[in-house]
Amino acid sequence: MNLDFSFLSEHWQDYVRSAWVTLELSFFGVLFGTLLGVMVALLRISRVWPIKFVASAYIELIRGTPMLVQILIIHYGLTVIGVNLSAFMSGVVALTMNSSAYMAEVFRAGIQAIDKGQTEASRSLGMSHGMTLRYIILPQAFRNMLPAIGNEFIIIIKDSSLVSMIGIAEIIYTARAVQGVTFQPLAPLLVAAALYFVITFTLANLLTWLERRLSISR
Amino acid sequence: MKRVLLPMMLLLMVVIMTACGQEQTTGAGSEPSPSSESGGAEKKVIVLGTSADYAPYEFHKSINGKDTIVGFDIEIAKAIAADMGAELKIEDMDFEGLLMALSTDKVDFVISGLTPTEERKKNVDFTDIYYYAEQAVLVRADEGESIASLDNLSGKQVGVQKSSIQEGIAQDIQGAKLTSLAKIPELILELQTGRVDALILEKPVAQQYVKNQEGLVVANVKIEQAEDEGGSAIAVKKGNKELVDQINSTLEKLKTGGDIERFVVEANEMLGE
Repeated sequence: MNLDFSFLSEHWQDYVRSAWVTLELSFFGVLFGTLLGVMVALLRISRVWPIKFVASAYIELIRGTPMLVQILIIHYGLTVIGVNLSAFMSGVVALTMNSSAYMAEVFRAGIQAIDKGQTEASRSLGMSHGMTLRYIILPQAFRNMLPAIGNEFIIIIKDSSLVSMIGIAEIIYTARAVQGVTFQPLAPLLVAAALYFVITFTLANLLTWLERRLSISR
Repeated sequence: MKRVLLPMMLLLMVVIMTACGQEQTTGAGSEPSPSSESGGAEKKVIVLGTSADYAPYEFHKSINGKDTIVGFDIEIAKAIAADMGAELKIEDMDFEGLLMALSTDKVDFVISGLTPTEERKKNVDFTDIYYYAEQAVLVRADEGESIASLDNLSGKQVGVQKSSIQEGIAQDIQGAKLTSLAKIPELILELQTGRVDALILEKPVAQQYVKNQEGLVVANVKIEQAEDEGGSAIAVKKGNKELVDQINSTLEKLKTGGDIERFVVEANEMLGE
């Protein structure tokens, strides 16, 4: 099999554009996923059982079904109830829901890992339950959660390749388009892999840097 | 913490703003953006669904540095849109998703080298046939001689595109083992790496791969098909008689004018460039 990368001279702009789309998708997926994840996590540790039940059910449902199925259901299935999202919106919604479920578990674990004494101390100082969470627990929990959050970021970036299925022009979509024009099956995929690696490796390094900035000297 | 937070917030805002300024993220910018500033009446938009991995029917091509979906199916779609006085918007997706997109109103019509089978007719309506294609068997060069009829594929691993007409043909071969994948390039890889022994593809598609990849040949196999099985037609949502009639009249015009043959030749030339 001959590996020929000459298509890059003609298609490199497509790759750059699609890398940007991948970044956009994962950015929104991670951003909204984190926000939603925090909310779900807080509901999950709520002491009111119906709230707790709904949050747990949501997490289990999302974690228990494949992302590809979720994407297809959101893109095609929602039209049954009259919601017709564009491919990009469907992609963002699917990535958001998926990452929120995993993030929720990361947050829950992070929050529950903070020593009970911290809560007790801040409550004794007269802080309310909400204030305790906001000023004492979450900042400490966040620092501990950082590696897990970073991991989730990277997973979302890679999983965003699945949305090529519904026709969003991200990296894999472009690789397949190039396969189709050049009649070269392998080389366009290798370029895609390289792009993903550059993105995730850069992000991993940024996160390590951030982790170091936030770490306390012990 | 504060010193880290500020730059991060700024970065966040920049990304959000640039992301919002960029609307055209789907469809690979296959169409010129609607000219909102040029005024005039709001133009009707008609959405085409296609799976652009099927050269010369439809495929991606970089034209002046811009990724564009081209092919003879696309030329036909343009003619249909022009006759309707509508603007054409192209949605590119997986082949298996096409009919689903049609029945869920994601697209108005589908042109993707679709063969109107009885099973598909249950779910969508088809127009007249606009093009007949022959099927071909693609094999590695060293096996070109040994395959002279479909029966020779008995006991072999045969690759086809999922949900395609070729899948149906392969299923009828006694004793053949099937590999059905969504995209043609993956099938080519399967063939080149020896995981399948032969592929069944439409002839123009197979010939393009022979031209562009070393070590592949089209086997000397004639695949018999009923007239109504080898042709491609355009699919619309079930019950949309008006649109079927409209497209049929455009097709009639294109066929009598010899335009479709011209589109096919042009699409093949574009591939060769």
